[in-house]
Amino acid sequence: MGLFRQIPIAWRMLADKPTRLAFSMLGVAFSVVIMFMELGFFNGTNDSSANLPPYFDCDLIVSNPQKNHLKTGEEFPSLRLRQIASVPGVAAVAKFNTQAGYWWNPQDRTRNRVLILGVDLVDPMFSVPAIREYRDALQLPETVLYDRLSRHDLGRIEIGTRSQLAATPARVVGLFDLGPNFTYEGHLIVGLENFREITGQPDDNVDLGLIRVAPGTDVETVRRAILDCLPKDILLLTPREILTREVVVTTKRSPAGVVFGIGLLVGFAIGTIICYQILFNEVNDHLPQFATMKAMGHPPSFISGIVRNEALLLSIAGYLPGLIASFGIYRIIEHFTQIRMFLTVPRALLVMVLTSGMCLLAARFAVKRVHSTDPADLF
Amino acid sequence: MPSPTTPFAVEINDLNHHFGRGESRKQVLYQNRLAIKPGEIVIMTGPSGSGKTTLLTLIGALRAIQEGGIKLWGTELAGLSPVEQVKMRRNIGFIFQAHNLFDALTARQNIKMAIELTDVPAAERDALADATLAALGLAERVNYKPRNLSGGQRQRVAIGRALVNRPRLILADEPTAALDKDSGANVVALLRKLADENGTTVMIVTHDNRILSVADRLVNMIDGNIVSNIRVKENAVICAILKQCTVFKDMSPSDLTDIAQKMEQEDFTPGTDIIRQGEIGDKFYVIAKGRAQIITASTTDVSRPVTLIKEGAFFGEVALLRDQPRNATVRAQESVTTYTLSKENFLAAVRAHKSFEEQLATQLFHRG
Repeated sequence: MGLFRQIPIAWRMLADKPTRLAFSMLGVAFSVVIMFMELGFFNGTNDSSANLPPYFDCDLIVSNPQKNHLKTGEEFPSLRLRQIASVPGVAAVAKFNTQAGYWWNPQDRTRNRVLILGVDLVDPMFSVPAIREYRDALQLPETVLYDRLSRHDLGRIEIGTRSQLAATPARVVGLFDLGPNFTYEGHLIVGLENFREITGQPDDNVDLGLIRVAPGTDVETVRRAILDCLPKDILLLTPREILTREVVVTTKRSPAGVVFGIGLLVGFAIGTIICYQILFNEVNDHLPQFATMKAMGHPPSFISGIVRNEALLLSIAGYLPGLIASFGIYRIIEHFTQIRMFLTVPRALLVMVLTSGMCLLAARFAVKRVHSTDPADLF
Repeated sequence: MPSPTTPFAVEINDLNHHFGRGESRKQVLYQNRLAIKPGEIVIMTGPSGSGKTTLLTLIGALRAIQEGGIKLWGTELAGLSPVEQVKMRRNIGFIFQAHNLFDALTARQNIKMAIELTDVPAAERDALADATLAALGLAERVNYKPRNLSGGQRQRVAIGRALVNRPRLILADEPTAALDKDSGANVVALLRKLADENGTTVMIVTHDNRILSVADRLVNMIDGNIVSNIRVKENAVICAILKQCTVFKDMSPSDLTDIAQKMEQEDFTPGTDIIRQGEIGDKFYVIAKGRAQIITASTTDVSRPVTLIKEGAFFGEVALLRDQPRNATVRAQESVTTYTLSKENFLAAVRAHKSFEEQLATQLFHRG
C-alpha cells in the first residue's frame, strides 16, 4: 500500500499535460518496440534454427556422436539402426536424412539453398500430415513436397510445378508448412528412395535414426538398454534434448544470439534515457512543489514515491501501445522474411519487466535532483 | 517533544549565522534574541537582505543552526538530525510568497497533500479539506485547479494547505504580496483567529503596511540585527501611562515607544510586595493591570494603608531621581502586571529629553 500510495497523485500529474503524456507514451512505446524487435529476432533465430525438433514424432533419436547439431553433415552406419530395432522395448525405427541442396526457381532460374529432408514414407515419425497424404505420389521418382513457407525467392510454387532440385528434375506433388531459417531458404521433403537419387548418399549411411519405444515402456530404460547393447559410437537423445541443444548452439555459437542480445540491451538503454528525459522534465517543473512538500514535513521517500509511481504508470502507458505495435510489426516481418516471430506470453512478460525496469532506473536518476533541492530556498 | 516548562513558543538565543565559506564567508545574523509566546502574531520588517528571511528559515528548521540556539516549545533545534527536523516541521505551517501548488491537483487535492501527513482517517480527509477551503471563502472552488483560480484564490489555497493541520507555528513570507486589499485583510483576519482561538504563533515577514495592525509584536531587522522588538498592545498601554507621568509628558510618541520597548513585564501575585520601604530604588514601575496598596510604615512600626493605586498608575521614580531609598511599600492587592524600566534606562531617557535638573525640580515639585 505504501509503495503505490501516490499512484493517484502520479496519475493526475501525468494526465494534467495530455500532449506531454502522449509524447512520453510514444517514447516509451518506441523503446518497447525496439526491445520486442530484438527479442523477436533473437527468438526468431532460435525458433527458426530449431524448427525441425518439434516435428519429430518419436521417443529417441540416434545420431553420429560428432553431429552436435542438426545442420552438420555427420552420418552413422545404418547397421546400428537395424541393431537398435532388435533391442527389447524398441517398437519401431525410421531413417531420417537431411542434406543441403540447390533449388532452381522455376520462374527466374535463380538457385537457392534448401534443406532436403528424406523421410520414411511408411512411418515417417515426422508429424507433417502432408507426408501421409501424398505418400503414393512421393513413391514416384522425382517427386517432392514443397514447404510453402519457404522464402518467396524460391519462386511461385504450386502442386504440379516442375523445377530442378540439385542435379535432378523435381515435380511438386504436395505442399506443407514449416518455414525457413537463417541457414536455408526453404525445405523440401522427399521419400528415402528419392533422397538417395537426388543426393547420392549411400544407403548404408543415415543422418538420424528415429526410435519409437513400445507403449508403456520407460524411455530411459530403453535408452540404457540400447547403449548397453551397442558400441559406443552413437549419440542417443530425446527430441526435447535435441531442441534444447539446437537453441544453445544458435545462442552461443552463432553471432546472431550475441548481436540481438546486445540489441536488446541497447533498446533498454535507449528506453532508460528517454524515460529519464521525461521524468527529469517532470521533476524539474515541480521542484518548488516538491520542495514545499519537504518543508511541510513529507520525508524524501514521499517525493521519490511520486516520481517512482509516475515512472511505473509511464511504463504501463508506453508498454501497451508498444506491445500492439510490435505484434503488428512481427506479422509484417513474418510476411516478408518468412522467419517465424512468435509473441509468446513469457516473452511479452519479459519485455514488460524490462520496461518497468528501465522506467524505475530512470526514476532513480531523476529523483536525485529532488533530493538535492533545499526547501530553505523557497523563501 | 514540546516541553510544558517553557512559556515561550519560540526562543532565540544569541543566534549568529553565516553564509559562504572561507574568504566569502559573510555573517548575516548577529546575536539575535527573541522570545515569542503562543498566540502571538509577530510581524518582521526590515529592508531586503536584513536577514529576516534567514531567521525565518532557521526557525522553520529548514536550515542547520550554526551558532546560538532556537527552541521551539522548549525543544532545541540546534543539533537535530535531518529526520528529527522533518518531524519538527510538521508542527509548522509554511506560507511562501509563491503559492507552489500542484497544477495537476484541484484545490481539495492540494490541501489533502498536507492532510496526508496526519493520521486523519482517509474517509474524513475530503471533508476536512473542504471545510478549510470554505473557511477561506473557497467553498465553491474545491474542484478547481490552480490555473482556473485567481492569484488571490491560489494564495488562499496555499494558506489553507499551511493551516489545515492546525500547526502550532505559522511562518509566512509576504503572504499578502499577491493579494488585493480585501483578500489580504481576510487572510490576516484568519491568522488572527487562529492565534486567538488555538494559541497558534504566527511569524510574518512582510513589507505590506496594510497588515501591520494585526501584529502583537513588531520586529524590525537591519543588517542582521534585531533593532526593535515592540509588543504593540503593551507598548500602546505603556505609552499612554507614561504620557501621564510628568517626566515623560512632553516626549514625542516615538521617544515614548523607545522607552516602552525597554520596559520589561513583571507579574505579582496578590499580597506580594512590589517594592519595600527603605530599599534602594533600582526600577521605575507602571501598573498595566490590577490594584496595589501604598503603605508607609510609621516610627511606631504600625503600618497603615495610605492609598490604593490601579492600572495606569506609576511609581518608583522619586527614589531613582533622588538616589534615595524607597519612601513607601507597594503591595499587590490582586494579580498585578507591571512594566519596569531599569534605573539606568530611566535616567538615560530623562537626561536625553530635558536638562536633568529641570526634570528633577519639576517632578519633585509635583509630588510635593
